[in-house]
Amino acid sequence: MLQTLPPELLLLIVSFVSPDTASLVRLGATCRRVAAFVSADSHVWRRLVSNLGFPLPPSLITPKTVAVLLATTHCDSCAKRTKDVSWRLLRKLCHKCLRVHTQIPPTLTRNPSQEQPLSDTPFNEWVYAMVLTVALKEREKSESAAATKAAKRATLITRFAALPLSPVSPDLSIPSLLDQCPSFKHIWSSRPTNVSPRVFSNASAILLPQLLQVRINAFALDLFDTSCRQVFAEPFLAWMPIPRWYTNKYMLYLAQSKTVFENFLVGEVFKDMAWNDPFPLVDLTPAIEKLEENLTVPLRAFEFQKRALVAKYPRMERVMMHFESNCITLIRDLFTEFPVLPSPSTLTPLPTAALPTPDTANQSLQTPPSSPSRPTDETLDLSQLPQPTTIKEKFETLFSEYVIKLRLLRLFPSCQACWLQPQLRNSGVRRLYVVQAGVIAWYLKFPRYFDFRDDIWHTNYKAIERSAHRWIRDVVQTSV
Amino acid sequence: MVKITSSDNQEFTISKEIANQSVLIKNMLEDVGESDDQPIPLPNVSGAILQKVIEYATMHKDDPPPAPEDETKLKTSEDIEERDKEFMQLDQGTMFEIILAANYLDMKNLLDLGCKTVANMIKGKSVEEVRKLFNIVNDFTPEEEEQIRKENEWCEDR
Repeated sequence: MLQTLPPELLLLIVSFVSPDTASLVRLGATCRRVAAFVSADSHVWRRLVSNLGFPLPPSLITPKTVAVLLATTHCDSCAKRTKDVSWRLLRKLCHKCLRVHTQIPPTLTRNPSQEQPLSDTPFNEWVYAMVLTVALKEREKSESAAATKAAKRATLITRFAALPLSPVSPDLSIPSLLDQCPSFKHIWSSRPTNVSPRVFSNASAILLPQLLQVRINAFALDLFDTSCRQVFAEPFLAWMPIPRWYTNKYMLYLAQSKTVFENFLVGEVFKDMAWNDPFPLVDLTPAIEKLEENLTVPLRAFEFQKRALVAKYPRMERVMMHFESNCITLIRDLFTEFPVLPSPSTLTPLPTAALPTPDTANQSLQTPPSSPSRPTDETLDLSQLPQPTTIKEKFETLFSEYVIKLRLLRLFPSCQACWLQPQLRNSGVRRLYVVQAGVIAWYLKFPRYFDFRDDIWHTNYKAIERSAHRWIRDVVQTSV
Repeated sequence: MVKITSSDNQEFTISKEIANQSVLIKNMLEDVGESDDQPIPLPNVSGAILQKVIEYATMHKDDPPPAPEDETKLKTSEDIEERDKEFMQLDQGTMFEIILAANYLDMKNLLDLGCKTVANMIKGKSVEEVRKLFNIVNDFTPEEEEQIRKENEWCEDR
């Protein structure tokens, strides 16, 4: 009965089919009468192109051609899926095929004098308009998708905020909690859709367990910070301000300790929690003990080596006191030099009473600590600390280098920047080398001044300072 | 109240607001005047179809008048109300009869509903499926058919 309908009714039906280009094309292939309403120059196509927001083509090109090019999804040449259309060639071509099809064969040479000016032909104007429209539509589409995604994110946040969630702390809002969930961004940014009840239900199934984990992590971090402050009471806190230690290695060490702490909390305290349960009151004593065990390893190692050094060289105590404020850097260097940090899980707390006295330290330095015959209740179990012979040597070397560096800097505070001084500016880098070479030469002449085992630095400092300044002045004047 | 008579002489009495949904009846009423209680003959519509048309008009008697159509705007068949979808669950013959009646009675909403329903039946179907659905005889020559097949190759990969 469809094909016997009056023309105006058939046209009306065709116009309702028309947004679906493929269906319209197939309808036109059913019989001659219907085909007449869907012919290439039918106003149905003209209206379709126009309503899609594209310019109507010049007379030689049918609106059906344009509509079909807009509707097709695959490359004419290689059948690869593409959105690209060559409006100049009136073909759907992917980027790769377009390059092949638009290459000028090398055998053909262009003769510019025979070429017609193309820019003002209706076809070229239309091609330009089509390219521009496609680009604008792409941008509109992308902006619209971005807006929909942003709306989706906002709706999800609102919906989650309406759930009965017990707050972790006033600082942690629902957006910040959700943003920390690993899947949240993927959920709102992957597809620009509205948040239907089904979408929200699926999102909840994924995000609620993650929300719990984020809350636990935030809570654990909070406890970790608090516990750290309890563990690092004076005087260590002044030496190693937490949690901003200096080397990557130490940060890794800190992260390792934090993981041990978090695993303890998650495994022991929060294991049976529902995602929105309020957090229980936590007895932090075992957690803090674990932290203390882990985090004081560097300090204990340092203290141990320091005591050992002082026991070996009694004058060291005075040198140590002199450089007390710089010990943070020394500890940092010590850590950088450690071949392997001890694993926190294998370490036990080191009781203060068990720290070596100068006598025991002296003994421990004389006897290789790895020897199994030593440990008693009174002494330290050195096998649990980083290899003491290596550390002892490294520490001593580090310390002697440190003393040299600090004393040289004290004598020649501006030696690193002396080339910037006005009277030396003209000679530039050469003068810098001269000054540095002079400092090194002076050091090599009097290495005894820099030996931390010798007391001459403290007893004759004024004379050393005068000698150094005189030397460097002479070097600069004679060499530059 | 307004009396109308179908092609098979069935008489229906309907309220004026229902009758006014048909531009044809509305114009006739204006021409003959309010006082005339003679039934209005509708020779192109059978009683069964008129019954369905009255059912539709009654269902939509409280609807606002349709907005003037923008000829430049692309038509869509996706915006059918649920109650209208249910109303149009008819056999194909009755559906086309209703479309013809709506066209004759000049009832734009019903006409659009009928055409949208047919359009939705066409959408997404292959040529053969459409032919089979509407009993369309293929009157193309084999050469023409081959030519059309080649031209339409791009949309046959569904």
